Amino acid sequence: MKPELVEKITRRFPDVVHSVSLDFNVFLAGRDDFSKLAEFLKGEPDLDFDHCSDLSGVDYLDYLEVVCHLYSYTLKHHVRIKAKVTRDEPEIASLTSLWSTCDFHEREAWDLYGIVFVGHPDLRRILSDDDQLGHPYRKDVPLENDEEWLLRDERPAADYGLTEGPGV
Amino acid sequence: MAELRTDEIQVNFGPQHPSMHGVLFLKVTLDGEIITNVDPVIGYLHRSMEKIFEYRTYAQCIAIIDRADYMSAFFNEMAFIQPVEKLMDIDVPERAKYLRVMLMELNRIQNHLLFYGAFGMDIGAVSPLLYCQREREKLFDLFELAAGYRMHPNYFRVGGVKEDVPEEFLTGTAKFCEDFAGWLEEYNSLLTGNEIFQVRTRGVGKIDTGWAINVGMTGPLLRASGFKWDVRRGEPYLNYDEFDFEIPVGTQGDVYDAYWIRMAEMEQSLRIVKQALSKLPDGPIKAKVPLNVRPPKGEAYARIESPRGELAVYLVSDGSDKPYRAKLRAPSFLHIGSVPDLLRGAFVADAIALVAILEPVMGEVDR
Amino acid sequence: MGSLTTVGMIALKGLAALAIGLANVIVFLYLERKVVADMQVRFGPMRVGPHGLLQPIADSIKLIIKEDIIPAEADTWLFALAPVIAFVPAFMLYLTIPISEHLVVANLDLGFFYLFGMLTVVPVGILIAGWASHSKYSLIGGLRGAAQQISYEIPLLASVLGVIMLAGSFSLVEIVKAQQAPLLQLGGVTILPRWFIFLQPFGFLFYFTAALADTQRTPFDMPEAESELVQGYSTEYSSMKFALFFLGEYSNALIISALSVIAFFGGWSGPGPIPGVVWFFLKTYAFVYFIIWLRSTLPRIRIDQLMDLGWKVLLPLTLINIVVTGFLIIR
Repeated sequence: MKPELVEKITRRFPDVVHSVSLDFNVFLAGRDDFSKLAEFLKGEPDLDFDHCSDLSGVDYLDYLEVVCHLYSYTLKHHVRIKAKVTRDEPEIASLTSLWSTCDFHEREAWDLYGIVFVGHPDLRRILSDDDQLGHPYRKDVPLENDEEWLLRDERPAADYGLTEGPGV
Repeated sequence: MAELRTDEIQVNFGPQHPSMHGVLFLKVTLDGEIITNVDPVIGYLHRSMEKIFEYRTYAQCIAIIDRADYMSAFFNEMAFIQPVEKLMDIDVPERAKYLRVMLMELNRIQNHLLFYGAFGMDIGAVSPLLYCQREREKLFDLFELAAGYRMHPNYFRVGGVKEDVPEEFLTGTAKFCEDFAGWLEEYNSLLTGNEIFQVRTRGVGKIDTGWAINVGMTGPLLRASGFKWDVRRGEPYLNYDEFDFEIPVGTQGDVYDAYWIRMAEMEQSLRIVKQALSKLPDGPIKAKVPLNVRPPKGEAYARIESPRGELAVYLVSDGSDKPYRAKLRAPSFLHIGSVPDLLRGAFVADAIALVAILEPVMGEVDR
Repeated sequence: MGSLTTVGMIALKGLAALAIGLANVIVFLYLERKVVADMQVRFGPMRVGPHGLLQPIADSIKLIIKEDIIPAEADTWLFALAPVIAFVPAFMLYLTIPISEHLVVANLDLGFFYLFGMLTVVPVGILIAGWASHSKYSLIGGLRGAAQQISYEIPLLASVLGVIMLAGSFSLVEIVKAQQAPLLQLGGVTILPRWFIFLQPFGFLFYFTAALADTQRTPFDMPEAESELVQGYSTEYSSMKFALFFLGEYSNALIISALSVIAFFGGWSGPGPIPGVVWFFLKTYAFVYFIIWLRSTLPRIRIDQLMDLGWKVLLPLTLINIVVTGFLIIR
């Protein structure tokens, strides 16, 4: 991406942190700026990011991160934008109104990481079961089931020899 | 005269279905024969692959990611290895690059052959499925010669490929390239020119470029709408810029275009394989990197052109020998997301053709 | 006493005709699997008996001994009635089809009329099956199937009317007899007999298309398209009831093959010392092979395209055929 475009973005959004990671320009926005930044990137004619390639969540223990990769078919440049949310306040604005691609991606991020996308038309679980408890991809969820994560079961806990813990 | 009250009924297609699309569950609301709403329910094949990656070394991850898009395994491996090689700035030797390209393009042919059979089956012709299996068997044999496995090859490594191919693989591939043109003609004569097939596919569905880009369609579907974009040309990886091949593009965006593009892509893939065979250099097949790689701390995103569309992996590394986060951006995931818009207002029989054209593989949708 | 033996004789002949019909349906079943397999570069049934010859018997036994499941919400009486209505008319037709000049149980004067009348009863059975199953898939399949069959009844009858006009009779035996005369002779040797295929080529084309659609064979087998509605109207049926639907379907296909031979290809007539019966079966099985060939090759037509074909194309064309034939006969 051309340096003058980077400057344009940082001038328009002074709170956004810019860094370079390999061949990507990365913009880390605050929670409120994220959707405005995305709108700007899509709307501006010399930026014109019409293709949202990927939107994912990452768990960095202290915080959760939303990472969105954008690409422009017309101008052939790409960018990565990020935003941080916390486990206590996982809300962030949804990008579905800008790119319908984000519809399923945001549902997945909600399902697996617990990031709440405000303004999403239909935010429900997509990959896990409908009555799954918790958000499986977070780092504090262990990989294999142990007793605390027998999340939903027909038989009472006493059948498994459990006398205390959730579900008893 | 009082108006006849008609009700909409909700019909469930799947998840277990005699059709070929895996465990896809479509909740369809019908008004007579017209579809008014579709709600796709996925997740039946969710194996939390990405979480497992965080607990496995990079070499182990390659074996696992084969199982994501099980039809085109080499592409999965390539998608995963590319960001690692970018992070570590590895120079892959030439012979490895050519072998990778050759195997990926053979895999693309194999995938499109299955599309031909499965699509024919959905339209009602039962025989193409059996015919395409002949060529797929030959390709499976070639993969077995190269990698040792037929379906989940576990062959690419960070920095190159696992081991060198035997001589039989090269002669077998050359023979396959010779025979294939004749078989392709036979396939085209069986299905493509058939009157009933034409009537069932021409003018059915309309993929509009603006909508397709917005909803995240890539690959043959985006090209069917008339938009000429292929990651192999637009953002060349490996040594695709040294090969001479065309990108077939459709005009109408209907089902026939999406079908015909895949048949044409098979021919182009064959061209690439022939060129790779003739130019294959000698040399090492793997760069000097340990099997247990430790990429430096950072993140990388790299995409490739899989038979279904744009396949990419977003990799976050924390310096250890296990990925911190590896997200697989699967094209079929977004294609399923486009199903409600695509199917609204279509006939039930056309809906089957339209879902078939998306060619979803539930392994990569659910991961 | 005399009338009792006559009744007994007729009953015996009827049973023999039904038995022959059933045997042929079984052969058809076997042929279908083997021929489709051959066209798909595979073997088909090979294990049950030499080359799978006992496969249809094994299938029949399997169907009969299966558990008879009735859905809880289904209308039990109608549910059980539907397969009977769909099957019995098809089998009744075996009594009227002549396989040779004297080998027919009931040589009705209204042969073709009776035949098509019986065929029109079958969609009623399909509708009842779709409704009584109390399942969405069955209902949709039943409606589709019945709509398709009813739409193609008129072109079916109309396409044969040309033949009936040429023969001057509805009776099947008379129609075959009318084709015995030579059409083209060269020095006393008959090159071409007066088979109605030469006089009514379009009539045959319309008849065959309408017949395929009426019996729901590919390319018109939308009601049983697996990839859409599982098994269509017969989804909820099991065991003997399913077997009846199955038999009715294959029996229909066999009968239309036999009818095309009788109406257009000279029935049992054929040169040389080979008896007429053999010629009849040879020709019928040639058509059976053709129908199976179509099944393994062609994709299927969408339901609305099917309806368009029946009402907007076949119906006018068959009516024109009748008018033209009538005109040519009068001249």
